[in-house]
Amino acid sequence: MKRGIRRIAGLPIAALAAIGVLAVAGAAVPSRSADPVTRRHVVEIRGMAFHPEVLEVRRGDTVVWINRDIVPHTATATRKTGWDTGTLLQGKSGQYVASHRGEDPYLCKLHPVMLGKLIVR
Amino acid sequence: MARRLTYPLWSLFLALALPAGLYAQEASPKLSDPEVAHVAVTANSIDVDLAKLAQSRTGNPDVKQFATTMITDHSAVNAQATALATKLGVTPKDNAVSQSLLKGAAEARAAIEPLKGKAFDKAYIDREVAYHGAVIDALDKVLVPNTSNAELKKLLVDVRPAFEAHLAHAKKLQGSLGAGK
Repeated sequence: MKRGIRRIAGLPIAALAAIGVLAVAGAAVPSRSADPVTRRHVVEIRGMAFHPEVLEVRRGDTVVWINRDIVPHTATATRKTGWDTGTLLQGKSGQYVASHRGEDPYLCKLHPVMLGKLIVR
Repeated sequence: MARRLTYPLWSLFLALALPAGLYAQEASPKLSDPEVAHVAVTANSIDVDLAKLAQSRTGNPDVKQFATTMITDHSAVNAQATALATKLGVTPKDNAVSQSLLKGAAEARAAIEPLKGKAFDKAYIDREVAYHGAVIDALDKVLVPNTSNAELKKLLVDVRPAFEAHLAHAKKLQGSLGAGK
């Protein structure tokens, strides 16, 4: 035990500081800074539908919609989150960084029968 | 060959609710790929033209958005069809089915054009429900089965979901307008 303490005590101050920061970040602040690794998700729009129709992501993740149809589409939030990819022509893509936790339903403004949903954890 | 095509063409004419005398006259013509291409382009153009009328006349924002989508989508499909026809060296050829479509469109427009306000919106959306239903039926029973070229056939198959979405969209509007009842 003593040997262990001595070994830690023998570490440079900078290394100890780094360990302390990591410990605090990992245990006490489980927010964005706890997981700086964000993911990129792709939703394909084809056959007049969003694939996948429901997508679970973490806050800070990027969702990219790519339009594989001949006709233009949008992905537009239906709640107050208010995001909108704008009109995506064939082969074009638009993205949104998920910033509000919870269910975030969306539709295509041009074809309101096309529905999708993000679930942001 | 002509005999095999008789039934699908009958069903197309029936689906598009054409006058009995007209389809009796055209009971056994057959559609070549250039004719199928012409029918497809004509069908899209008809919907664009009526949507332009609706866009300029409706005061309902949902109907206006629908009309705008019809113009955008059917123009996009026609651009793709024209590009494919050019690539394949196919020159769309006028035919009895295209002529019948145009005749039906002129009659529908004549009935809708004098109307105003909600009556106009209802008549336009009712027509869109009927027209998209008929075009989907024609795609399934006539156009797709009688198309020889694989790329042209694929385009027709690929655009079907768009027409289905238009039909669902029009039906939703029909419900909100209290039309078609």
